[in-house]
Amino acid sequence: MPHKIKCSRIKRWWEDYLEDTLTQEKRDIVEGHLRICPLCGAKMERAKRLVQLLKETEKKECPPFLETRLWARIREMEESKVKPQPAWKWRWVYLLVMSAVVALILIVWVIHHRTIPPSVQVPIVRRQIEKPMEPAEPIKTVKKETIKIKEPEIQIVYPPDDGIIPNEPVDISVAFYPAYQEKELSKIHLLLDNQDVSSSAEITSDFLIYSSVAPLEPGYHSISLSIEGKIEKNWFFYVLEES
Amino acid sequence: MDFAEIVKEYKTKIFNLAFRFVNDYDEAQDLTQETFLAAYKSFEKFKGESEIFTWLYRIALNRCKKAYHKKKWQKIFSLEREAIKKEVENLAESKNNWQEKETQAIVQEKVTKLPPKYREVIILKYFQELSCEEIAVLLKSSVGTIKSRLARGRDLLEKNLSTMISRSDIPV
Repeated sequence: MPHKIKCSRIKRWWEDYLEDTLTQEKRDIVEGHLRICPLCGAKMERAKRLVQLLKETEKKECPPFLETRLWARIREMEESKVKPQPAWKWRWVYLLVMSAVVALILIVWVIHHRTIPPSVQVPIVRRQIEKPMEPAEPIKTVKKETIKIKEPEIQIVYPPDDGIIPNEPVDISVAFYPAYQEKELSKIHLLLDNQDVSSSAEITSDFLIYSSVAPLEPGYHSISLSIEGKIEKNWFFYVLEES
Repeated sequence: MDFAEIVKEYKTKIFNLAFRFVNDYDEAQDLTQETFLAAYKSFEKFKGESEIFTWLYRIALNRCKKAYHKKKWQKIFSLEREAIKKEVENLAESKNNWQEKETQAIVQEKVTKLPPKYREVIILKYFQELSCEEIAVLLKSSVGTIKSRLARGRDLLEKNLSTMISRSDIPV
C-alpha cells in the first residue's frame, strides 16, 4: 500500500533512492508514493535535475606542467635535505666546543680572582700582626640622670648676724630655701645660747620663728641651727641695755 | 604504490576537488601542488591505515578550507565574477557549447558560495562521485550526517539555481 506511506518516511530513503542503492521493494514503495504525492514528486524531480546538472559539469583537465613543477619542488626539497651545510650539520659540535671554552675561561678567571697570591698575602698578615690590638671601646651605657635635690639653704632673717637689737622680746626668724620636706622638720633644732628652744618654735617647711616671752639679757647671745645634730648655722647678736 | 604513481593517479582528482572548492584555476593548481608536497613529506609516515585517496583528500580538503578562511575577508563575489568572466571569454566554441559552459560556470559559482560543510559533501558526492560511506570515512563523520548535509546542500543549491532547474531542456 504505497500511498499510505508518510512523506517523512520517504525522506529517510531519499538519498538512497537518488543514489539508486535501494532494494527493489523499497524502491517500489518510494515510487508509489511519488506518484500520488505531488509535493514529494515535484521535490524529487527538482533534486534529480539538480544532480543531473552537477554531474554534467565538465571535469577540469589537470594542467600538464603541474606534475613537472611538483617534481621540481620535491627535488629542491630533497637536495636541501641531502646536502646540509657543514656549519649547520656540525652546529651541535660547535656549540658544545664553544660553550666548553667559555666555561673554562670563566672557571680560570674565577679561580684567579678568588685566590690571593702569596706575595700579596704575607704583608697583609704581617701588618695585621704588627698592628696592636686596640682595646675595645667600652660599651657606652646611658647613665640615668639622677636629679639631685638641692639642699635647703638657711637664711637668717632676724636678728641679723652681729646685729644689735633693742632690749625687748625678740622674734628669731629663719627662712629655708628651698623648703624642707615635712618628714625632715623634726630633725631641725634651734639653740638659743646653747639651749634647745625648738619645742617653743614654730617650724614650717620654709620658715622657723621663735618668739621670746621676755626681753633677753643685754649683751651677746648666740643662735645655732642644727639639723640631725649637726650645726648648720651659727650666728651672734647683741642686745642693748634697757634705756 | 610509489609516490610517482600516486601523483599520476590522483593529480586530476585533487586538482578538480580544489577547483570546485575555490573556483579559481591558478589557486587550484597551487593547492594541488601544496597537497602533494605535504603528502610527500608525510609519505614515509603513512602506514596504510586508511585508503590512499582518503589520506590525500583529507590533506587537500584541509588546504582548501585554509584557503577559504584566507579569502573570507576578501571580496569574494567580485573575484568570482571575474573568474567566471575569464573562463567564459576563453571559450571559443559554438553558441550551444557556450550556453552549456555558461550554465556550468553558474553552477560552479553557486557551489562555491555554499557554506564549506555543505560545499565539501556536494563536491565529493557529485563531482568526485564518492559514496556517502566513503565521504563519511573521509570526513570522519557518520553516514547519517553526510546524508542530511547533502539534502541541506541540495536544498540551498535548488533555491539558488531555481530558474535553471525549472528549465525543461534538462533531461531527468
